[in-house]
Amino acid sequence: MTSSNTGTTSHKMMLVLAALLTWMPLTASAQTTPAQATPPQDSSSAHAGSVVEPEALAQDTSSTVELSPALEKRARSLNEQLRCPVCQSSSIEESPAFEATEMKSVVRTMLAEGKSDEEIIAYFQSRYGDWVMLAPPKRGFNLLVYVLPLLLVVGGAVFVYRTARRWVSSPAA
Amino acid sequence: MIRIIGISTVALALGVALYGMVAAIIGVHRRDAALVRSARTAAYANFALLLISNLAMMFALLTHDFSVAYVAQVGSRSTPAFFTAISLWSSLEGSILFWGLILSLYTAAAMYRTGPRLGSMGAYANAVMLGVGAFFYMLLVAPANPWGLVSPVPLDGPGPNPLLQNHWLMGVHPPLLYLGYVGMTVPFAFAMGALLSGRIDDLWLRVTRRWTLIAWMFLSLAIIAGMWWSYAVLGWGGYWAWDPVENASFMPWLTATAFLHSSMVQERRNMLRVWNMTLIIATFLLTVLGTFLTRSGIISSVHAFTNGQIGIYFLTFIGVMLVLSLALLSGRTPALKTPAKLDSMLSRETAFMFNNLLFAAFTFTVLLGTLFPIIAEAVIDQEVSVGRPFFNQMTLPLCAALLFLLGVGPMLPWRAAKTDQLRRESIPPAIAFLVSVVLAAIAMERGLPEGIKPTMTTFYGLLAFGFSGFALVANVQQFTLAASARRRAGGGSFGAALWAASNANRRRFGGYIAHLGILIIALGIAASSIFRTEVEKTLNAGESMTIGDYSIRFDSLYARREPHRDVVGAFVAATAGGREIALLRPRLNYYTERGGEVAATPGIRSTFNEDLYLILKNYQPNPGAHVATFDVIIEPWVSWIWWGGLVIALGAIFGSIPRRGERVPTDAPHEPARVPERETVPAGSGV
Amino acid sequence: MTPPPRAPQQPAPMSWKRSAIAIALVIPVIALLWYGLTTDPRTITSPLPGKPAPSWELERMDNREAVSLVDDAGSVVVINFWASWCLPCRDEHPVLIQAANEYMPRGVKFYGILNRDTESAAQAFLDELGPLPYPTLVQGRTHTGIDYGLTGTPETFVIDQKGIVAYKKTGPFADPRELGSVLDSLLAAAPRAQQ
Repeated sequence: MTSSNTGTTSHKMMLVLAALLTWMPLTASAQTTPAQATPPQDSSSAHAGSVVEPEALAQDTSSTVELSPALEKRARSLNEQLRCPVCQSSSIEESPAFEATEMKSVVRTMLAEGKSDEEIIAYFQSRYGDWVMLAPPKRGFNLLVYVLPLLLVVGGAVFVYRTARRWVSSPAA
Repeated sequence: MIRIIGISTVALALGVALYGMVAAIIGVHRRDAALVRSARTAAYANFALLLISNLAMMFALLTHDFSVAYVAQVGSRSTPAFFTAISLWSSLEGSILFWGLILSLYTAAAMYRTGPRLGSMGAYANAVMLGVGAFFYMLLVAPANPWGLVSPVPLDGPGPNPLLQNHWLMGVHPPLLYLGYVGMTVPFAFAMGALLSGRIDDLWLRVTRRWTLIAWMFLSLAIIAGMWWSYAVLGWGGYWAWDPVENASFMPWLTATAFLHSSMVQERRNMLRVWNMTLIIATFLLTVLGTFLTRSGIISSVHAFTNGQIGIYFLTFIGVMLVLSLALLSGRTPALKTPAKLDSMLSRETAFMFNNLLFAAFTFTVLLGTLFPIIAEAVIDQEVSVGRPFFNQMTLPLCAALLFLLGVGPMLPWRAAKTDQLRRESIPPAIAFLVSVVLAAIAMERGLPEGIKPTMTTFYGLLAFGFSGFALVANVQQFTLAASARRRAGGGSFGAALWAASNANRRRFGGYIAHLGILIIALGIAASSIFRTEVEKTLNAGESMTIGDYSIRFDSLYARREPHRDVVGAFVAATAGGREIALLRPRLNYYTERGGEVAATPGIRSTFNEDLYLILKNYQPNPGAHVATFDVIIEPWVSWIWWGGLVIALGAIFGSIPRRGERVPTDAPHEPARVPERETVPAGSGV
Repeated sequence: MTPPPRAPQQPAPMSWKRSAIAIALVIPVIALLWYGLTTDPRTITSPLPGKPAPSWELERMDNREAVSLVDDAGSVVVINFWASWCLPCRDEHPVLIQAANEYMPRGVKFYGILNRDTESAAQAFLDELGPLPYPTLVQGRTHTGIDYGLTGTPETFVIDQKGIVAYKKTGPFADPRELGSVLDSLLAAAPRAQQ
């Protein structure tokens, strides 16, 4: 595991910890500094499953830009094309990860500024590379992944048709 | 003590499997019936050994014996008993142990069912299954040993992967998947047995038909259960993400489905013999490749099961199996080839050939897309991603074509279709096609927001509804035609005639039932993706919003500390027509001990007609004034997908009920029904 | 329906030549998968090195003064994205302090940019581990992290005198010499570039 990954995951842990610290100032975990990354003390039975009033939480609330329904639709379709950098293979639309939330917020901001879909995609490509596109850009070597299946279907259809024709006209076995 | 039992049974199983494999092969060569019989006994012994080993692990898990490495890895005193029990398959070592149990069960059952009747082919099949088993037992002994000693013994463990411990479906999906995956070993082994023994007529097909069908049923159910789990647990509003793990389970399903169809052509017409062998080999290898992809960490996926070392073992195994099976198949190809003859282009045979082409192309597309990131990195040293947008774009046309064939196939009889009959029979499906398209177009016209241009998706949506309607009527028509024919001949009520007609050819009508299941799923997928309504809204506590016919009221936030996670959720009330219909609690889970992963659990209110799906996206717990952002989705017909899975299973079961007095396939098909009791291995069975 | 009229117990012949061809076809597939095993699917190569550094104007955490990358045109700039909750950042902290103390007198500008963190937590981190000899900036409502294609913390970017990203490090610097050698080569190239 790269340290970068550790960073991302422990970052989320920080939020949890921060949240817990504010909820439960009396438990032992309050003394643990977040960066020590010891998991919060396994809940004493008094807290296990008990409902706590969520007071001031450290949840990051990135500003949500209000968009018209048409822009909203475009935002969703753009989000679905962009890969979340910290969560394996899902798009930012589907991911609750914080980096994905941030990227979604960038998409919305750029849409509100009147940027075109192409400009937004180009922005993310320039920062994360082609990797960020969930459908590989259709150029160069990537064309293979689009063309080969097509060739197989077309070539296969011709082959199957011809074979069937031949078998129809062949003398009885 | 429990560790000793566990590890020794597995080690013994490895020895027994290797012995059985060698004994079967030598037994055939030397025509030594006793050796061949002892190889069969080895198969039974393996099952007993693996059963003991699995029970021992189950015992260790339930008694929280943290001196056992696997228990220390996935166990936890605070995990409920049910999830502790199913954590047997929540991590690599345990799932391989469980895999071994299922494989040994299949091997023993297949040997018990076929006995000595199949001669050298059966003996070789046993050797192949034991060989595959030996590979897995070897993993358990060396790189994936769940029975390691942990010292000092920890007081508690971290518990299983959190995503796998919060839904009952995780108790269902993995066993189904393994039953499906591992079940494909049986037809593969008999195909190999046929190639090895040189007994290359359709005996192996007749022997394994039901095994394949049942394994296919389990695989279908597993895929559906996986979709359901993804929908109910992962909280992204969808059920199929084209994730590599999903693809890994889907690829063998595609080839197995193709095989179920094309094997009928061989049984009927003695054609496509090489192709059928290819398909079953591909199916088996894809199950192993799928395991390799998901277990080696070679491809990044949502499902984080990884282990560096195990990859090398799997790769070696894939290589060996690939080389052996392809060498055998291509070596026997000249002998397998038979002169083929078709009576007409308009026949079920040709429909199946095109069906197989589409399935093969589908498999290739998914395989290429799944592996393409590795290919691109190897060839041009660039990182690319291949995900949902790519797969949707590439496979939707294939899906549409397959739906069309799903309707055409049943209308085409074997050998040659009579044109006038075909014309008559195609009228109701054609009408259904037009009606469905028009209805779908009207619904889209009303349902789509203003200012949205029709896209390719809407075009495929229309096609999906049209072809589903077409195929639905075409398949139902087969039942009604058969029932009316029987009624004309014998009278009685329509229901009785329908039952009698279906029972007269269970295999055929079981297939049509499975078709109906697929169509129900297709409709569910089409409706839930095209007529999906989604609104994201931030609400203050006490505020409401409306979506569709629902009113959604956000009451308050809650936070809760659970044994292995911290939960922040929202209390939400959904009302429709002024009546409260559901209290939903969408939440965000923070998995503290697993590096703080966040997972959203949706609140779902499911009905037959549509699902109301709530995701908590963000929240601000300002004292006394909670604010929450929700993603609210209405997905019509989404539950049809799960029901469709059950219909498929029903069809598969119906289609595999034996006919009364059905003859058991034996090594000597030309002899009368008399099954030879003596244990002989036929002459000339060496390679 | 019936099998071909062939004696049921006569085995079919084998063609070994065809077998050999089939085996040869397998090799590239295995080689590809083997290659896949040796690479980590999660590492992403940043397209930024060699490109102009994304500009930013951010607030200092200590005195709320605005700082802009544009003001440092002509200098070598080191930007380190960090957060108080990130364990590797903790290990990297002394390494960065050492490098900054060595290279700031030689004209290199250092900035820490706080990523996904609260200022109070960051301050607590600095109180505990010692202050940085260079300013820490906060992102506020900007998306500087995304501008730099961040996939986690820590990540460090070195920008040359012309404002081009010269180097990117994903993960922590374990050894001050690693950063040092990058800076040395940029500084060595500088006098020639200025003349």
